[in-house]
Amino acid sequence: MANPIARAWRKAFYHDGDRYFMLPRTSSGLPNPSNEGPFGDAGPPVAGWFNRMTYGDRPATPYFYTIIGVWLAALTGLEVWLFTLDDSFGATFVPVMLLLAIAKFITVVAFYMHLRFDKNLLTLVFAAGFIIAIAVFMIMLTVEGQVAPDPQLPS
Amino acid sequence: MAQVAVAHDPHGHVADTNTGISNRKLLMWVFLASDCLFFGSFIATYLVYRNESTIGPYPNEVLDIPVTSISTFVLLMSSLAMVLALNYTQRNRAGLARFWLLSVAALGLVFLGFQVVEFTTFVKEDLTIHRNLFGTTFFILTGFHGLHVFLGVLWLLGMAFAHFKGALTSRSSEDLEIAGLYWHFVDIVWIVIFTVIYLIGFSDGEGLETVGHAASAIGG
Repeated sequence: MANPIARAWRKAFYHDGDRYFMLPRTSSGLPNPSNEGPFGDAGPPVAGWFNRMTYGDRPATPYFYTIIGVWLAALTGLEVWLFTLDDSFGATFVPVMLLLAIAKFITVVAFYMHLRFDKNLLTLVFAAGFIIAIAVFMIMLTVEGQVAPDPQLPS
Repeated sequence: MAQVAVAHDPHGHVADTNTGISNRKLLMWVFLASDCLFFGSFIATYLVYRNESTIGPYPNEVLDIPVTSISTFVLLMSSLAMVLALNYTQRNRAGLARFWLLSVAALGLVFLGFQVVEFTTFVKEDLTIHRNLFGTTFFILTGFHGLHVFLGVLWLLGMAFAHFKGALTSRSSEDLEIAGLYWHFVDIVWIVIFTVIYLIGFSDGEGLETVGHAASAIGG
């Protein structure tokens, strides 16, 4: 590789098949690399079993996507159940809820939207928009009360 | 000279572009990134004005968590149906692909039905878009999300029509993949709305008396 800029360019824009969820390096010439299963070919034995179970002639089988669906439903059920225990949670309620929402968000984006299997550029594009949105959110919270007048009581 | 990557995506397609990614798919991701800003702004506005309403109804008086949990589950399952429709299209299983595609549209309509019922109930309880800051920020946020769902349903019905006409095959499955990206995005936005507005924000207004309801009670 000629220089770091060119290397970074290739890393961001070309298919390497690595650096995301610890996928091992994969030749871009392979249409369906066998290690593009949900856990690549890395990890403990259970990951290999999971790959064999979910890998077909595509990145993942309908069976795999159904497992993901059950996982999402379970997380939603957990959220609602924890909501009923709100009083016993106290200050940890909001962080726990946000963590569960983040887990669901990442699961959908990574597997259903295929970012887990796709090229890095798409992850970068979406992450850029998301980070800017979070920045807008933080700025609005920071300036709260400074630019928005307090609402007036009805006369 | 620009280097052109001829790369295979996970679905076996070849995109003959500089990035190795289909331009249409890249454009959809750019749109979704911009839509993050759209919804991010509305969610931030809701949170900025959280607990700022001076008159009711307040969230804890009108939000129905059990019902909204069901509609959330419906939308999540529509995402599963969407990814199955795409998967079966790529596998040339036309019958299953059409079934799941129509299921997505049906589940989307069910979700919209839940939203219509919710909005109607709110209006009956004196919560309108003009009533207070909660009403304004809530209806704008969830209303625009509902509009996204509605447009998605129309798009998917068009895709189903193309499927029945034989115009959507494994070779042109990218059309469905792009529609699917939009649909999944609508789903993840709702994941955030459900957690932040419904579950976390439910307790907003506890201990406050609803002026409108109290006045009605006195008047009645």
